[in-house]
Amino acid sequence: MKQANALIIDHQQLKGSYRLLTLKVPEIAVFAKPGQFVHVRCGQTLEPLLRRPISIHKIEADRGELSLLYQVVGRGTQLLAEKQPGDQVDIMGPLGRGFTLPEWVNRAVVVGGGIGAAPLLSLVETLVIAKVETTVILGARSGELLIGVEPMADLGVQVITVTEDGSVGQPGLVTAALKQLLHQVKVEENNKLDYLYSCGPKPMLKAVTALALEYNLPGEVSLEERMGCGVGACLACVCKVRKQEQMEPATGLLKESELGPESGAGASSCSVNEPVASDFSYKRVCDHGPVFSLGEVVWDD
Amino acid sequence: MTKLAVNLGGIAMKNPVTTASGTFGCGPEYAPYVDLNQLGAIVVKGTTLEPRLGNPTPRIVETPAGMLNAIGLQNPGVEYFINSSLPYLKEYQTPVIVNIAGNCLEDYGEIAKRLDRVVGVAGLEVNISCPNVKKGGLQFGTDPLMAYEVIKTVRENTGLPVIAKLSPNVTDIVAIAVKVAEAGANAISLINTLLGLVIDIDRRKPLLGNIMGGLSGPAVKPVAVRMVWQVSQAVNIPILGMGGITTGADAIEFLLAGATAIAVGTANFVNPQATMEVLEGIEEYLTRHGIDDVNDIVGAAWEK
Repeated sequence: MKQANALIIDHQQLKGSYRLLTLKVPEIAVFAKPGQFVHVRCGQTLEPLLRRPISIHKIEADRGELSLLYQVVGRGTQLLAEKQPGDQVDIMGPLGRGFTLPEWVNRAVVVGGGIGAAPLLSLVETLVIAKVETTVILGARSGELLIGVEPMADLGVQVITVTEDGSVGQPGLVTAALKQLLHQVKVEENNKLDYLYSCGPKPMLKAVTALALEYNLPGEVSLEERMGCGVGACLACVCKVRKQEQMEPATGLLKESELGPESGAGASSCSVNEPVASDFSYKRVCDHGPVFSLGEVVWDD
Repeated sequence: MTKLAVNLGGIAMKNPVTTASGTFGCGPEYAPYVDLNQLGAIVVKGTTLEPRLGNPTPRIVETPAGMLNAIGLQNPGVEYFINSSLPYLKEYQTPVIVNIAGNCLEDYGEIAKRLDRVVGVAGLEVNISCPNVKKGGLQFGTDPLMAYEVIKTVRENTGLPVIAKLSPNVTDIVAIAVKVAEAGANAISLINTLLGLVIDIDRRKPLLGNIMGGLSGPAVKPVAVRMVWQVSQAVNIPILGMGGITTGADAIEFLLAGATAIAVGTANFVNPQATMEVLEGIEEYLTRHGIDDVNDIVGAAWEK
């Protein structure tokens, strides 16, 4: 993990508010893995203050380059959008834990919603190299908001596009397309989908997870959360995860059996009636994540 | 060669720069970016007797030249800290100050006692901006007598240097400071965060999960400098100043106002090298002005 002044080699305006930024930064690119992110300082001054975490879209380690596909949504990304080739951008990275590829995976489905497509390109490149048969489903509210389709298709994988308003591809939600695929593979191909990867808005991830679990399909999701430090120090960017059996570092998880005065040194005499939730703890999206296993995440209603 | 060493209430620091609790984790997080041996001290994140879950998200939001945080003291508890976090820090030649928090006087007494003879702990910074559950949730740090009680309780349970970290959300910071000094604090650190709130106009509700949060960053600096100015002239114990420091020049302001040492917090998020740049800036100012010893400028702005 390093801090570096990356050189902008290319900065394209794609459709709508989407931008594609290509950086030459070998000291980070060489170590980057699909699913990781960089923490970007968008302006030179103290206002806006914080860095913006942006997932890595494409990694070209031998050229020492990485690309970021991002959306202009606020003052930080607006400032970033104004930078030109030849300018430098102060970035930290590569940060976080990326996607994994268990060796028994032969057939995968990758589901992206809106800007959630961004971290999935380098993942699919890895799957293709590993000869994993991959189907990609990319969706958005409308054709204008659908992004990342062409580079995926260029990899030679099947890409199913879905828009809620039907302007491009199948009309409806990605979950409907996913359900169709799961059913089709089960019935027609008589071969199982081994693994699911997904990134997108929380309601989409929640629905995709529910569907995957229904079909006993393991997999991983990539999350985002407002971030402070980006390196695991400030504990701002946490996500609710299911309780594990052991005490987790820095999660505040407490085993039920460790409550109460008989648990020895450390028992507080006015133990705050904190809802030491018996079914979840908090893990940092910048450090344990941004990639989490499907079954791990507790989705709020 | 400029002398940078300072003594913060019994804690010998090689230079005046330390880290603000909650912004620097427990060491490993920033180690790839900063040589921890170069710091005057490290103040680690707030530790409680038992693990704390913390608040629901969102826990932070950016504000003009600042941010609100409502982390909720998520931490793995003092036992985990002693057994797993401290060994890492003991590898460095930098004093470790443990920030402690509790919900009642007994909590503070117990955690102070627990950390008292632990090798590797150089001092305790007492977070008194916690609600006292035995007094209807009123924050310890908002009442001079409660502040006195909590520092006295810590004082009675440890021989370590005790730093009282004051909340700025009070009418009279000097009244609080005088009482904590009286209770036996060896030093005072200020300021903690200022209470703030952001409304999400799309959802039409407060943005943070905890509704309110603490403001930090450059926006708070003038309030922090003012309080250091007031408190340092009212007590005889050293001050650890913090609040929006991003450069050496900011740090010098705090020293001139009366602080013996300073802490860099939110700035770390923007620039992981912030502590080192602040240190270099302090050195550069002293050299440029022909000042041999950093202690010579502590409170220099008081002179008429």
